[in-house]
Amino acid sequence: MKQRLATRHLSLVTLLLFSVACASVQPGNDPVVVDAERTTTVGTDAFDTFLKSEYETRATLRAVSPEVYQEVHSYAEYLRAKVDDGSGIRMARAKGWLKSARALTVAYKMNRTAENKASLQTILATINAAVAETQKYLAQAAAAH
Amino acid sequence: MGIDAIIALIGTLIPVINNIVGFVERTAANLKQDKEMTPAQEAALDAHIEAIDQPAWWQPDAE
Repeated sequence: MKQRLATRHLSLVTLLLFSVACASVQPGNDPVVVDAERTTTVGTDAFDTFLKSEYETRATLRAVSPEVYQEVHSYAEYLRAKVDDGSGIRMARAKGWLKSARALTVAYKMNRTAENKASLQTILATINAAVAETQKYLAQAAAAH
Repeated sequence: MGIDAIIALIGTLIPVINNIVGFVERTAANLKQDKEMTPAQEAALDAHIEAIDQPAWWQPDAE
């Protein structure tokens, strides 16, 4: 039962990621910008969902599987950890990524250079990787229950 | 695991499952975005990100 739930969840995530690869862009719209905005929107929701789920189930998860709890909680704390955003302002690491993605999207829209595109795509890769991690840990937590 | 514990476990998991199902539904809708955001949509996303760390679940463990 637990394995089926975890498997179904992972299947949903796989389907969603496949959908990202296949999504088309309307003519006249920059695919780089559309992808950046999609990734940022999905990332915002994914981080919030993961952290809320971890927060609400940590006591239960710690009781049923201390090992899985430690892994899931550690990654959640990694996302929550306050780091300097480069201008002296400290904020949650995940929030910093999202704000950077927005700033770099705006910078690219104003000046669509190869350098701005590369900077934007670097932060988007970071967000996508982190979103994949949150899905992995959600599946682990579901399987543990 | 006794029946009471199982019931308590289910009670904990149901809101989480609803949370995840909602995320999947929203993501499916977001992935259909096929054009650049309007200024109003951008402003809404920026405001959402700015306030995202206000809830308790975004606060790190006390050091």
